[in-house]
Amino acid sequence: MRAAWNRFRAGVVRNLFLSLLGVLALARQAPAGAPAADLAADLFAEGRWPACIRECARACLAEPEQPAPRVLGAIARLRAGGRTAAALVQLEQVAVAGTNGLAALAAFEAGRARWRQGDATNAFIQARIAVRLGGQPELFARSSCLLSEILRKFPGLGKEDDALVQTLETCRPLWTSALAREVLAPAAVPTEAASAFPPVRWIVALYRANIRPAIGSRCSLTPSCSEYFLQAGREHTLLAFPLVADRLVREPGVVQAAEHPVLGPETIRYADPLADHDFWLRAKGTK
Amino acid sequence: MMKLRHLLMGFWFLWGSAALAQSPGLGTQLANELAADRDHAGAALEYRRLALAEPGAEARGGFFWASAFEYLRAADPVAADRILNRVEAEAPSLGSKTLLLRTEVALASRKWDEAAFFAEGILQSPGAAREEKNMAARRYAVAELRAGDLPAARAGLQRAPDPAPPALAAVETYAQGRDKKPWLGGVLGLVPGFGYFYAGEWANGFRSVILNSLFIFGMVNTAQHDEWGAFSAITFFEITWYTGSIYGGIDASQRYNRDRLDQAATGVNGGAAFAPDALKLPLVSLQFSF
Repeated sequence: MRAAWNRFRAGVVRNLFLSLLGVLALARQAPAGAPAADLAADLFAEGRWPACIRECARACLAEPEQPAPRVLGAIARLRAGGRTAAALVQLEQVAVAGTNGLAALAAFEAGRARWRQGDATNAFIQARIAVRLGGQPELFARSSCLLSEILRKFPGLGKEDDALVQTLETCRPLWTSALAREVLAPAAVPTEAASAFPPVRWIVALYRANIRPAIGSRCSLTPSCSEYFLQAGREHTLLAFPLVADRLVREPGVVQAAEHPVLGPETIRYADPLADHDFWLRAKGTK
Repeated sequence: MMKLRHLLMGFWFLWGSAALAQSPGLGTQLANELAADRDHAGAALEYRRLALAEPGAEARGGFFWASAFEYLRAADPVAADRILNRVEAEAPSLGSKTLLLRTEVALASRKWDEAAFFAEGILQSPGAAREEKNMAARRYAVAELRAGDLPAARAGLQRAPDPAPPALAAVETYAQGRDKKPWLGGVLGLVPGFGYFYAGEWANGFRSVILNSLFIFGMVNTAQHDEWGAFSAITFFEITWYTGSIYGGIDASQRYNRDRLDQAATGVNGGAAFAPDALKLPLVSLQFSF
């Protein structure tokens, strides 16, 4: 089920950005920034956000009049997380000014980001632009699905637009449950620390708040023992306890062997990653 | 007359500057310098850019090959694998060179069967160069060694055009040694420290004995004095140390086996490596060292 979902998601992303590649190819007139734009689109499809953002900036400098790299860069910034306000403004500008598939894509992405932020009014405005512009059938299905969800939660927003509600009703067969899940999924946020096994998290929090400030950071290894414990708690829940006990027993030996020194901010530490001590557990898991 | 000559020289200079600015040589130089500075991800990106700017399919394939090579050096075999798909689409003539890189990528991804498959392709390819076959034989042996098939590893090495006695010796040394049994390490770990002793980690074993002894003493002592709060805390830590001893026994054996295998693989590879001649790119001309 999960594999099928992952396949579907990968397919959606691939199709969407193959179409975006098409838009890029159509929109391009001067060849100077062509490799940068192509490379940016490739990097986007691979989910390499920082590199994609850099390439989009390069393409924008080469062809400032082309909106495609700007849109792609803004979407990459949204995907990368962090400060997204400027990216959203850029997308909304393209969405309002444009009349083509690229504008529809910008409007959809802006609408979805606004919806995820809980800004229903702006999400509605952007999603409505995306639906009106249409674009690729897949993009249209996603935009209409998003708009329908906004109107389901906030029916007041579309009460003066019967034609729009009618249009959405006719789109309903396009929305598969997988598509709806993908469109309406909350933004992926890094939850690494939060997802560790709760007792492990509590012990590490207690140690970091009350013990470490008193005794200082004494671990000679990297990651530190508390970080190692958290990682183990995330990966192996209850097994984190024997794992960290084993680590504490081995620590002097690892320091003495000094095989993998890593220059830290203040001192040299020695690498002892969790992967070196649970590789056999992982191998069993993948068989 | 002088003015006309100056005008012509000016045109010549401008034309030269423009040609230099558009020359792919500068891009190649940047990518090469990034690779030399060990910014392999940056170099991979530059080679990709060069590939996309290249009108000829063969040259495009060459740059993509260099990009995949740099991604592999940047420890990103997934990206390398993806780029190699493009190499195969753009420049099928790179055949054995692409297969060689595919073998490396599969080894880096710990896909032993795949690595053996690609190396086998090179060994069977009539067009592959002698060095490529020598390299493929070693990589094939490593893949089979890691997959646990020692006879296949030996057979692979014997198929190399030039025999490699040190590599064969490494396989034999590995075959003569014995792995530790992780389950036995775990069972011995029930007696604190003995799991570590079994794998030859004496210092770790003694530390485990001392820690467990201290905490067991603490448990007994606090129980005798009816200090049940302290007893609970010490018991919690002792359970952690004790389970750690069992886990450590298993893990120490696993690490022992892995290190033995790594040592054998290093012996088989024997420092054999290859790299493209950066100055000839986009023509992929490999330089081998054995």
